[in-house]
Amino acid sequence: MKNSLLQSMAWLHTWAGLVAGWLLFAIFVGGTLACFDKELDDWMRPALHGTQPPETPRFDAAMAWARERMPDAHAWWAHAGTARDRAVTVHAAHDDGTVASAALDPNTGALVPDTAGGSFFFELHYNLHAGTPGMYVVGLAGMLMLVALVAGVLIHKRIFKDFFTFRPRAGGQRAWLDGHNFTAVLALPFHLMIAYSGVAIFVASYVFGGVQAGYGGDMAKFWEEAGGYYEREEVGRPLPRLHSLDALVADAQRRMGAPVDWASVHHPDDASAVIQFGTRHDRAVAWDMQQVTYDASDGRFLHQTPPPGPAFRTYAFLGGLHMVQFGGSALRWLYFLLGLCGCAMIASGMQVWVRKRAARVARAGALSGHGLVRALNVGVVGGMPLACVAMLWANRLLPPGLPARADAEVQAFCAAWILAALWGAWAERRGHGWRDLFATTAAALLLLPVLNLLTTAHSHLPATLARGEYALAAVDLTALALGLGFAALAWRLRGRRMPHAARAVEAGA
Amino acid sequence: MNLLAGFCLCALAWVLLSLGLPKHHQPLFGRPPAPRARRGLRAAGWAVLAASFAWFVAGRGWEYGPVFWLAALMLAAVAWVLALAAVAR
Repeated sequence: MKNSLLQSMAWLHTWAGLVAGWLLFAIFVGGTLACFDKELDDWMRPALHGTQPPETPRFDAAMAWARERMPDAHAWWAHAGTARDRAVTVHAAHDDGTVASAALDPNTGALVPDTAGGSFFFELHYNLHAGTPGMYVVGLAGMLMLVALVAGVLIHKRIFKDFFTFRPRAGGQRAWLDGHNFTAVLALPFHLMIAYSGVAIFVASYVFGGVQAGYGGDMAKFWEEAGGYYEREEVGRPLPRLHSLDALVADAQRRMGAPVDWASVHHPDDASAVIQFGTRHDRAVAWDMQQVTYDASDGRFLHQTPPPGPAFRTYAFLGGLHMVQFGGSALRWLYFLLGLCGCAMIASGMQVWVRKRAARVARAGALSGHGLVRALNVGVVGGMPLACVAMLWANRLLPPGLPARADAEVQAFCAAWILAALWGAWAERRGHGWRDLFATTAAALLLLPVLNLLTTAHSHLPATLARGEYALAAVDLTALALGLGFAALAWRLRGRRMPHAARAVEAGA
Repeated sequence: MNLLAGFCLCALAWVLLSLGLPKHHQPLFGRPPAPRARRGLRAAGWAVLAASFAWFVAGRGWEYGPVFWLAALMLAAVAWVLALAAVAR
């Protein structure tokens, strides 16, 4: 009985891991970079480097832009410029889902060149930029990760004996399995927490039966009641004039007892329009979801969300633990490094799958899915880091005045990934796909600070270090550190020209 | 500073606990630990582990302390395993 349970768990671990593996790797890389999404946003807007955002945030210029762009929007929404991310970002959304966005100088209100920014990686890691269907795909991958983690613990017979064991020089499958095991076991609490809380954030969408039963499927109404938010019906008369948001910020901060971080105007073309303010999530583990609401025509105070009940606080705690807006940059660094452990766990796990079957596949000599898995491993694990660096390069190389500049950065990311995957898969036929991609990634990372020096006046390392803008400098320095890491990987793979399978056969013969 | 000291405490706990195992004592000292040393190393390891928890909770309170502690503890273990692999050459 025990034997058959272990065997079925091993089967589950292998196939849940393989099916979700590439997706999970992309999600983990995106999520790891998203630890510093705001810092990356800021790095990618050189126009604002060396400036200070105002003490009290200003929103009127952003809302004026939104009115010009989309007067009949469902809502306008603006995020304050802060020390972590200086730009004021504004979005206007139609009922039909079309969104217009812009970034503004927090002091002057002038438009600054837009960028996909670190927010690109944040969104990638929870919905793959594919809206609601993408969110479901990511949720499924997250659940498969939980399955693989639990099954993995059950089948790891030497979990305590091999607790501290890593034998990189043992070579082949042994080294990959050790690497997979120690990055998984030693960071297991993190992996479990991040997969569980990640799925839990969208739990009302994933298990929609509850909202179906209680609210007839009206998700907006569910969140409104759960969070104690304010909403009022449209009346069909035009709004005479929009009250200044900036004039209300001080009052909103006083009522919330916390700094204002964002502002919104709901149905701004209707007399029922309301102005709302919310705050940041950096003062406790749980999100601080409180909002204050004002009448948009005369600025009259209308509503403040009551303190959350225990159930909503529980939800906000799980979400906050995942998104790590608390604890400052120190904790974000710890999460970043743990995220890298997760990437290594997933990548090495898939290498174990390949290595374990290499000899058997080569002996059989038959056409099989093995080559596909090998190609996908190179394409995803070797290709995605290169695509991420390519996006940073595009940010510095694209002309500032380019229309739809943020989209062009995303296209650079996608194009780089596709090309890298094809190149890697092709080169791996002769056994040096990994080496080629890692070496290119290393070069692109190591040259990033040089590119920064050549293309910007105030944003390169000497300038940012001199001004004490360490978050900006840290992006360049992290690129250097990661570049050295990739160079070391490429160096270890030098001189390997034969495909794994062929070598495995020779070794076995 | 606080974080670095806490991280070092976590790492020390893993060092002591791993050296209490013959497998990791052997490559570093050329012989397995004597039974008394083994018990001592393990007891000290667990004690330092508890102390590292107390350090983080004392420094950052009950809400942040355990989160920082667990994150530092996991990364200290990864760092020590990488160091062990490098030393074992």
